[in-house]
Amino acid sequence: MQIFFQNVIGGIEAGSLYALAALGLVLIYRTAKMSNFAQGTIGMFNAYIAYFILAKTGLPLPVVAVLTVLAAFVVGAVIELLIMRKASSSTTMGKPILTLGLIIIFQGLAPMIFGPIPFQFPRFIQNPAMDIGGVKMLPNTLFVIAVTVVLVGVLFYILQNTKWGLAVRVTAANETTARLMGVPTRMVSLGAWAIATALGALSAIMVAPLTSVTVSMMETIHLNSFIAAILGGFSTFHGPVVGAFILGIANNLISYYISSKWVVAILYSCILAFTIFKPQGLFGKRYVKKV
Amino acid sequence: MQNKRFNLKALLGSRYGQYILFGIILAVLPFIPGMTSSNVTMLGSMVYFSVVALGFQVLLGYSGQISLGHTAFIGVGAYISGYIVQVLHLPWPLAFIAAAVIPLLLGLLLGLIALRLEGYYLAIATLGLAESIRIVFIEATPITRGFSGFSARYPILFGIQLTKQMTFVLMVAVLIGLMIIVYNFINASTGRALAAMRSSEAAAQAMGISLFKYKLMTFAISTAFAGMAGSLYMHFFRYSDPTIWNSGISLNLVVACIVGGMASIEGAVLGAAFVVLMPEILKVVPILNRFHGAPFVVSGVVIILVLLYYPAGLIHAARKLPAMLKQLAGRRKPAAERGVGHDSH
Repeated sequence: MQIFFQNVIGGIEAGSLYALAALGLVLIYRTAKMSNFAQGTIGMFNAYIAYFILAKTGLPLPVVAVLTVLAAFVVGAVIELLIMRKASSSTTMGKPILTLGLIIIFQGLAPMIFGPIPFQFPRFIQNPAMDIGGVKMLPNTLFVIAVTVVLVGVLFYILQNTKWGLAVRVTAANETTARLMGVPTRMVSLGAWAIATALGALSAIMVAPLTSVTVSMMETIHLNSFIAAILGGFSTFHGPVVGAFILGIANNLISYYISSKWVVAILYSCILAFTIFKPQGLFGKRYVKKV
Repeated sequence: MQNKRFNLKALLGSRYGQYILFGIILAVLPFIPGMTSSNVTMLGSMVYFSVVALGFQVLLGYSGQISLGHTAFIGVGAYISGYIVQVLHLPWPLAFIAAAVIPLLLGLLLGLIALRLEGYYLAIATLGLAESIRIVFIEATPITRGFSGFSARYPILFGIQLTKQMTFVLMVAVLIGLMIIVYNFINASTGRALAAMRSSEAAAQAMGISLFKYKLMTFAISTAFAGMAGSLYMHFFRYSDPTIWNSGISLNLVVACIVGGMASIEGAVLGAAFVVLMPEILKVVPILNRFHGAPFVVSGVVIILVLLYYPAGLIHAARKLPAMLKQLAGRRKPAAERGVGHDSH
């Protein structure tokens, strides 16, 4: 039983990282009506920035994290202003492909600027593992989970209860009508890009201690955040977060109880099979296209 | 005499003739004196990638769907072909057919599930499939030999052991054959249905075009082409291991189709040449060759610039080139008229 809980805790930690990334995906998907395939790669780039700040200034880690989030805001806003806004008149086909271009650019920029050697990144909390009823857990694990829960809570509060959240939700529902009603939809998509990029960056700096900072560090997280969004349903904000935790826990349990080699293949096949019966995801609403 | 010349002209005027001429020129290249073995390798990787890009063009350019996992289908084709020839000791043509059919069935199976939804679902499903298949490449060691890698030989065709150059000619022949097949496919009723689908899915559906059928068909074609290219890869490069089939190849396919020119057969080939040759060219550019990721950055910037400012792609520029040169030459002669011409632009 202790092993079971050990796996569940590990799954929740991984799920937290997927949840942050998935929330970033959905923010952009809902406001700009596009899939951002570059979310993971841009997160990776921001992890490099975080390492750079840490190595050059030696500031404490929380300060580095805040500076990285600010840098990510800038990166996200620049991408929206320079590229995505220019493409808004082109077909919906073009925009996600632009993000594929971004993947390639950032995959090249990271080693170009920071060099090809992987970097080690420290944990936020270095204390050794605690023993809670036979379940060993690192304080850092609890910290990652706590940060995610607080961030997701704050974001949902903003989305549901503030004027800015309302602007995001109406833009997501119908951009043209929102614009006609005086909602600054351009600001909304700029903000969505900035916040989504920051969420990806946070996810990346929390993954960094586990994988070290490399070009491919975010590939698994990015793919899993997409799959989590499919599992939970792209049409809601909370669905992908729930999907992320389910994915994280299921991943650990399958890995321990069934097969650690084939876990990814088993998990993805199960989710693919699940979408046959529920193509809109767990919480998704059916979307009817009007011509 | 007159009659003969006319026929030649007609042949070169048709697409078939142009493709075959292109193939002959390409096939002769390795036999030019002074052509090094590494140059032939580069040409070979261009031709193999053209085959994948051609299939991918049918999917992305003609039917407007995107896959981010085609690298897995190339890998499947490569391993199947290698296994059939090296382990089962069956002839290469059989392996080539199997390398097309099995990815095709895999594509049909995945398509049946993933194509039921609109949007970018296929992209994510193929991304997940590619990750799963990469694990199969690593773990299914009895067939793939995992990280130690699978080695193959140049193909034996009708009892003749081909050399590197002859294998290249074989690859060119396959490419040209497939170009002609795609040309026929696109200029038949299927192509018209796809064109209708591209401009408006709702309108196409209203005209009685089954979206699902055509999407599934184009996806299966693209996976079959990827498998065939995999077979060519296996027997030209004679080696395969799981690290080769990474997501970079899948991204490069998108780059090839967009940079070369969407919904164009020649565009796919030109784009494949761009993807393969550009990193090689950058190696000789003085400052850029010192940077590790320069080819990536150039690819990425080019794809974004093309999408934003030149959506027709490079093939369009190449087609307009003769007309532009003519115009330029024409303008130069009557210098007095130039001012008038400028105003009207």
